[in-house]
Amino acid sequence: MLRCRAFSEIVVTTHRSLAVFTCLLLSGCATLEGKPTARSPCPFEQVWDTSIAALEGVRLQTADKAAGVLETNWVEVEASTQAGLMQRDVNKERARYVVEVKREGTGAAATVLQLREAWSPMGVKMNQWRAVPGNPRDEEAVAAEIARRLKEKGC
Amino acid sequence: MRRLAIIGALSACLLGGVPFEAAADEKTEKALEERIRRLEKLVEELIKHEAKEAKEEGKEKGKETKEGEKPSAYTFSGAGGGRSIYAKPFVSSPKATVGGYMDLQYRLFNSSNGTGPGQPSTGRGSSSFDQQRFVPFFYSDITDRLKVASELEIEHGIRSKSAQADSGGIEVSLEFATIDYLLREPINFRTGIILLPVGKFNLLHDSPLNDLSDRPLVDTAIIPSTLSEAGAGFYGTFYPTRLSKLDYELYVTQGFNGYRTDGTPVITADAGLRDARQRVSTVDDGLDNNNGKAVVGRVAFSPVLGVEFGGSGYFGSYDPASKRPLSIWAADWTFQRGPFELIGEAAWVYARDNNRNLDGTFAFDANGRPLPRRMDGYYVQGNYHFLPQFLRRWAPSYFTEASTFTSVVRWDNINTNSELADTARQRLTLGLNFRPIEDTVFKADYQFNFEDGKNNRIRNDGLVLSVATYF
Repeated sequence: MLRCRAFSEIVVTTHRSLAVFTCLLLSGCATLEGKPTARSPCPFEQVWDTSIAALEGVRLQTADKAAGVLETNWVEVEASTQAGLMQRDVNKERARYVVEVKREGTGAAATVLQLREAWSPMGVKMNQWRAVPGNPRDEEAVAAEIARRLKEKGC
Repeated sequence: MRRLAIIGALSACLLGGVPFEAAADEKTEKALEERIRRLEKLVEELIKHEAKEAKEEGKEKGKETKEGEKPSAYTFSGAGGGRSIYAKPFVSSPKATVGGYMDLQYRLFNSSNGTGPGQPSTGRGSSSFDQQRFVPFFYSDITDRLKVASELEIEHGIRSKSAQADSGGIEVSLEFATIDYLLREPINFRTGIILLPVGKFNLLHDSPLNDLSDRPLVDTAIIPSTLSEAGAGFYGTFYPTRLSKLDYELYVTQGFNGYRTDGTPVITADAGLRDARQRVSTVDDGLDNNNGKAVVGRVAFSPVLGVEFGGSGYFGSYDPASKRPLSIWAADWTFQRGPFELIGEAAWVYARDNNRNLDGTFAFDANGRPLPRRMDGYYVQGNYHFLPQFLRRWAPSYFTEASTFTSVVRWDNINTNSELADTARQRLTLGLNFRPIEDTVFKADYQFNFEDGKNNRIRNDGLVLSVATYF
């Protein structure tokens, strides 16, 4: 009886832990709300193709048309920080873009997110890339480029 | 650039002497045309001359290479004479970075009493300047896939000889020295002297990175940072969802050495695990004391930027017969939102049979207490980053966009023998620091040290002022 109770307690605890972990994991799937978006009356297919075209020069890692998600590979960008007391230009930063294309009525919208990581040869920082906030200006620039190309197409 | 300067100078010489009034004059116009032709001829000659020079330089380089100064030929057979030093990759490669960090602190305490295992002290007096760490580091991108990274630590470097009988001299050692072979983002190979992924603090222990001068108690006694061992393994990163990140590290390493050659145990309540580290174990010359190897790993999951949970574990044996296992489990967390930050770490140690000598009899320390089998501890730290705008207006060259103040509060709690109560320690630290740039920090901290939950049972509260910088 006692063993049964202990077992059920373990099951409950495990379920709770799993629920917490799942919540945490799912929070990583959060929407791109508030990120720069290019809205267009153009049909989804055209916005999708234009988004791919706007990301020219960066290799695509994922292009899942059914889910409407484009993900690029990492690309090295100019570092926003300098290293050490001597302010040396040895720090590195890399970025990748996630573009989410969603149908909106008869048109579609492409939302842009930049993921950014930084690396520095300073001490223990040399062992790993660490996540840093994306640059909102870069995100806006990609969204503006998608919007510009869509406008050129005249739909 | 040089060519442009010469052309500019020639132009000035040739055209400078022409009076403006004569410009309309036909004769002058002809003269000008003539001068331009001469100028063009001169430029042509200059280009030819430069091309010739470049060609000759190339030949010289080729000649030098033939004479055995080829930079890549640093081998036992190829390296000859003093010049071979320049063939070493860190000197000749533009991809190498040499840098370092150092700190200096002034400690003013109630007394000369200690504040915990592995914590800095004030010597015989109650105040002291201490240049605790001078750490040069070397990083080299050998190829796109091959990297070498290292940190050489010189502790209390002012001494030429240590007073500690068993230290064998001043404390100079490699904190880490690794060769990384990058395969893919999710899996990369690393070998060398590895910074062990037990908790997060050990991986980020550099003085300029931390907002308080002294390390957390749990990270000097329970996880004895800086904790590194020779070994090999893998590390990598996964991106499970759009915004999340999962990092892992997994290594096989040398393991702790829990005894001196005469069988004296070194895992004690006073020292925690510090004296059992491979890097301070002088009895086996840094080599293994048994055939057992340790396995160590950490997984860190970040669901969104600014939030991270880490779990890590270490499992090995610490006795010469490799019969007594030692395990460390640790959890760490980081929450950042705007200017607020909440970080912390908890760790638990189990050293089986450490309360018995190697011959099976019960083992006691100098105070008559049984030696510890279990230890535990944690710290929780809150940071608030700010920079009053009036300071930026008042002195913009001192308070730039990269400058920040941080106010810090930290609570530490450890017990280096969980089976006893009088081996517990707590500390409350209040701190304020200023970073003129991200990599340089001036810190002021005040510590309230408690023993067994009682403040001032031992008079060891104190002020620590310090500066630390990467350079």
